[in-house]
Amino acid sequence: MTLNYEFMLETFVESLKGIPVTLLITAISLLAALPLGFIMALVRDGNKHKIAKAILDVYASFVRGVPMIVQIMLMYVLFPDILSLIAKALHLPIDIYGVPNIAYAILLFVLWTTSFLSETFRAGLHTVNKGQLEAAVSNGMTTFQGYTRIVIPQVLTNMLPVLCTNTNTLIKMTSLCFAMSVIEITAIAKIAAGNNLCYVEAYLVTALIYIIICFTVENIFKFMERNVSKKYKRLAAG
Amino acid sequence: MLEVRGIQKHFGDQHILKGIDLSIEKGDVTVILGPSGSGKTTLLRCLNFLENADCGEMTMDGRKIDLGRASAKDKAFVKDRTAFVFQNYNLYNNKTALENVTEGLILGRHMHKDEAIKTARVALDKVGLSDRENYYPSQLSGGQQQRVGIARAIARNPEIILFDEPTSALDPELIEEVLSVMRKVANEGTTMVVVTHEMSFAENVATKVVFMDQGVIVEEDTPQVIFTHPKEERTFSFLKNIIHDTDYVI
Ligand SMILES: Nc1ncnc2c1ncn2[C@@H]1O[C@H](COP(=O)(O)OP(=O)(O)O)[C@@H](O)[C@H]1O
Ligand SMILES: [Mg+2]
Repeated sequence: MTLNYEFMLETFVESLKGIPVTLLITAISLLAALPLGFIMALVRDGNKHKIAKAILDVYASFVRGVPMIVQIMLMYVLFPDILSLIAKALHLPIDIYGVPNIAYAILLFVLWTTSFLSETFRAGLHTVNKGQLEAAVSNGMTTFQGYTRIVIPQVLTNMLPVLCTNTNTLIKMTSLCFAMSVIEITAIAKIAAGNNLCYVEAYLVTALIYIIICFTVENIFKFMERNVSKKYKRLAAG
Repeated sequence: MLEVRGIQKHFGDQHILKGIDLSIEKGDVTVILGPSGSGKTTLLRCLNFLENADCGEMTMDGRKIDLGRASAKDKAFVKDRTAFVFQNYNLYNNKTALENVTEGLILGRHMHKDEAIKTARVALDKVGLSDRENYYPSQLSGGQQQRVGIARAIARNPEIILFDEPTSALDPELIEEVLSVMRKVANEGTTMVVVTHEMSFAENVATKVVFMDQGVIVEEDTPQVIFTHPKEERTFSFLKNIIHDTDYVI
């Protein structure tokens, strides 16, 4: 078997144009899921909001249990129909089918990442003893300040290695957006593969691009970990 | 300055505090003794609203509070006038010793940062940790961490400091440095409520000793009376068990 190197190079360059879309979906999902995932973790771990907790538990099971490709198809096929029914019922003059596919992709991935990260944050919250929050509150901080200034920074620090894996998982998951006709890295390569009947080459190129992205992400996280641990150890020496 | 009447607290169907009355005057050092599980921690936590009592009444600085229906304002009023020193220090692990003290002053008291740092340095100096202000808790010994915990409490200049077994998580050789800081704080006239098993502290520093058992106050008196001729049999047998290497003849 010989590979069509010319095609590979062309596809590589072409696929790079999908990186902004991949990173956009990833970045928005992470930024939204950071606060939302924390709230979800706190509600699920707490005892106060029983109804919200029950709903979120079901939601988490759904996100964990239903294959991503099925979730994507539900979002892509079913959700616009539901929305347009609602719009019609309310006589809203909105053309639901004019909404770009990427909006649905982003919505789905925000929801998915929120649930996904909430599991990480739940584990992370157990690494910070509750007494620190009590101390913060008894020292005059509000509970919100106690979380944002004391608890959450420690959860994020302790969970950096897991968050790195989570981020890479998310990036790889976004490759399924091709099924929603969102033109990201995988979709571009897939289209090129179909047009030229060079499937092996196209997928090799796609793999290479994801490896580069994930490698970069890993190094960004390693850099952050080093900085954090340097901060905590700086004064131990001198 | 602080008076509580009839504090009751349940955890589930467990009756933990069965009607506690306590009255604390300015400058008092009240030591609470009692066997493990008798409700000492729960009592302190109810005094600071870390835990909400089921019922009871509190009067602090002339403000009367129904503990069963305390409002957010009531709680803020009390929290602002009390400070808590925890058994396991509960320092903020992501903050330096100095920041552990300043954080609450800046956020809770809305103190300007420079002023908060100044106040915190005075407090750290008082507990003998001026040279450790930039250390993180993980870089400090248990004794040093607890002294930061005390600095964090005194920096807020509270009317009362509540100590919950401040030395019981410490290795024996580290206990004295914390007790000596506490003695110093007491000698400055700070009002303190201290749950401890350190009998020497109770005997030498306390102005009043309270003996608690099974959710009630069995007996309270001056340390002289409690340690030499307690009225209640339960107090006597508790003290007899705890002071085995005894200088005290009861
Ligand atoms: N948050 C809680 N939930 C349920 N039970 C508790 C809780 N805190 C304390 N208790 C129970 O209350 C009793 C008194 O505890 P505590 O006040 O810690 O006693 P002490 O400090 O005198 O050892 C114990 O039996 C303990 O198990
Ligand atoms: Mg206790």
